[in-house]
Amino acid sequence: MFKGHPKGLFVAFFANMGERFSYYTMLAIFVLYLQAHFGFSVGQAGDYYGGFLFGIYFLPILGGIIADRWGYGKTILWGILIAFIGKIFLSAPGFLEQGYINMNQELILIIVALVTISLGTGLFKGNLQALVGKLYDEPRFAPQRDNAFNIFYMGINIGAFFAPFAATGAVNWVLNRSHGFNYENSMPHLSNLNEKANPFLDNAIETIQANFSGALHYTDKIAQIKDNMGFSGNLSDFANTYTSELSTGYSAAFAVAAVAMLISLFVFIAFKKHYQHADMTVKQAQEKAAKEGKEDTTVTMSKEEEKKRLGALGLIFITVAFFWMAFHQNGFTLTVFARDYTASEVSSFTNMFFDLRTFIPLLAAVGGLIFLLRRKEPQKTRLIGGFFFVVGSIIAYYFYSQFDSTETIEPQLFQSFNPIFIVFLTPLIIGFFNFLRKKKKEPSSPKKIGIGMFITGLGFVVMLVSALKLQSMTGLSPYWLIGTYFTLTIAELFLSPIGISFVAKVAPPRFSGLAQGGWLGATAIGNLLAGLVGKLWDIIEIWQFFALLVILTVLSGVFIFSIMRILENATKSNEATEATE
Amino acid sequence: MKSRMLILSTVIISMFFLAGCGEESNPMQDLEGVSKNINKIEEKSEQIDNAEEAFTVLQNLNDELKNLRDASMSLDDKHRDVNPTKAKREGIDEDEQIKQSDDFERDMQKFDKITDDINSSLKVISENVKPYKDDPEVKKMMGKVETIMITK
Repeated sequence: MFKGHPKGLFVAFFANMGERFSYYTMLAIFVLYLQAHFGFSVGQAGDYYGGFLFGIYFLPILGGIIADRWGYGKTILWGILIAFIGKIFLSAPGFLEQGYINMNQELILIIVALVTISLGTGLFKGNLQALVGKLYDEPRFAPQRDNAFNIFYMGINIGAFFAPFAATGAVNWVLNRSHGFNYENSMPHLSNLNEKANPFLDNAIETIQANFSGALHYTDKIAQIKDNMGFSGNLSDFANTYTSELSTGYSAAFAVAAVAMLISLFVFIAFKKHYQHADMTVKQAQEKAAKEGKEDTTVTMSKEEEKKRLGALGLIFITVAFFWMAFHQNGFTLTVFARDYTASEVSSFTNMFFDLRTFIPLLAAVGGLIFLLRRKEPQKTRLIGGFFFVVGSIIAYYFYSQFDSTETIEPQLFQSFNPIFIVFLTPLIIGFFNFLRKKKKEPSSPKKIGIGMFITGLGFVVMLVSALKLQSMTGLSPYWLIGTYFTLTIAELFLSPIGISFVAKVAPPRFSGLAQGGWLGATAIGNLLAGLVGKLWDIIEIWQFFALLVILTVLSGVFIFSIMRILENATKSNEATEATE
Repeated sequence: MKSRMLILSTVIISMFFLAGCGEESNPMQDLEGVSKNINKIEEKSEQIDNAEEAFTVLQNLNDELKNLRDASMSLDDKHRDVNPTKAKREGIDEDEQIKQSDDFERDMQKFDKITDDINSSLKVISENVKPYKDDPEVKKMMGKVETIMITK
């Protein structure tokens, strides 16, 4: 899988991994931070979440336009630096002395941070994809383009996998360091209630208490938590201290995200020599050829051909917006579902999947076992596989045996399943496509995208069933959400890396950056829709919410198949151009 | 191709448009709806025969109490919005500030009347589900009902 690729791919892989680790670390806790620190409702937090994601994915269009003129490497470098500064701004409120700036000023600082991060990411993300595409313009590497984007996509997801653990680790560390607190997901809301006068709510609570003896007032609940955590001060002191520590914890996680950007920066500067030959716009390549007196080998297209290709790309962009609308419920309503409707206490066995100390060795053991059992692998590889199997199993068992019979899990940890599934499913999906290719049955890229849409619908059918189960029970098993993440990941692998590769193949060369920006722009529209659709969470029944997502994604799949001929013709005309070359 | 792009773009723009045209909710009206629905649940609770039915009654009640919570919080927010700068300048604390607002008394009177109705329905419901309170699922749902007002 990794053989026969230019070294530049691995520079892009690691630079992207650092940036994505940083991005997903902040994203894992972003909504929870807004709710905890500013007392936002799910809907209000959704506005910020949707707006931010829109910026992150829409600004690559601007980044693409800049890079198509200015050069890809230079634009990417500025992108990393600007995003780094944005993340410093984001973490700042937690490290400023209390009262140094008021809540409104903090909110303004957060908005400035979000705009800065979006701008930096806009300059970085699409252009790095365009640069990877350009590495494969060389005829000897061209056949590997699809595989390259699958590998590149793995880099994104390795970064994203560790992100929620880093975020959780930073939050827990801060909570624990001075007061020995642990994470309690209801505290931000309770503290928020405790800070304000609530005559109507108090009156309503009294009505319930008069008839259900176990009904609690928010002050009772805070008192319970305070006693459990062994805090000696009064109730308000506890609520304020806890909220303040929790906010600082979130800021610490944002600081971790900022540091990760520096890793990305280092990789991109230190290994420049491996990609700089491809780091050229069409104009720069033509100028270089003229200067050196060499033949101009850049591919030029007629206006009509360019128009046809951009049209096909446009259709794909608009349709995949619906995929991202559904998929990006992961950081929003699916996290809220995990928090509010999924059992927060799990058995020690299930906890193995939520704790890095057991999950990583477990994965190493499974991977090792696969290599150990494969007869066609060389003896040395099978021995290494055996080593990983034994050591991984021992470490996993060691930590597993230290778990209590029930353990508490945190809602944001569910977001780790998508990236880890990507890393493990990518080789399987590549193998599956290779198998189909050998049988001459491999679907075209647009067909894969269409199938991906149907699989997305299936993922939300799982959520729909789980929501219907809520009608007869409480505290659902976490395996419902894990099952949904599994299905959505397969859909993503059919759709996202294949889509990026499709864009790299079909985009007219002088619009490489813009086309990748367009792909991300479609993601931006999808994310904005994610925020808007997410608002329905508080309005309609949960099962209706998931049913709506099923309908929208299935309809999008049907639409893609209805325009299949247009899309496949665009790919074919590309293949014809490559053959002519 | 152009027509298809047009259709898709129209769908997306309509979604944005529809999302922006949300109906303004009226918490007092919502509360009246909650009261009526809890009254219906009270009637259903009179026919409970087994734990499953008790569970369903409690689940429906939980949904209505969620609406009661949201409406109560909206009313609190509404009355909390009265000119905090002025209140601060004049040294009025937040409780006082809320109570001094023009229509606070009127809303509170209406609210009291509605919660009185809810109270009498709850009394009947709690009695009717009591025989099944040891069933594990009923117990869990009862726990939810008892904490729904303080969860979000």
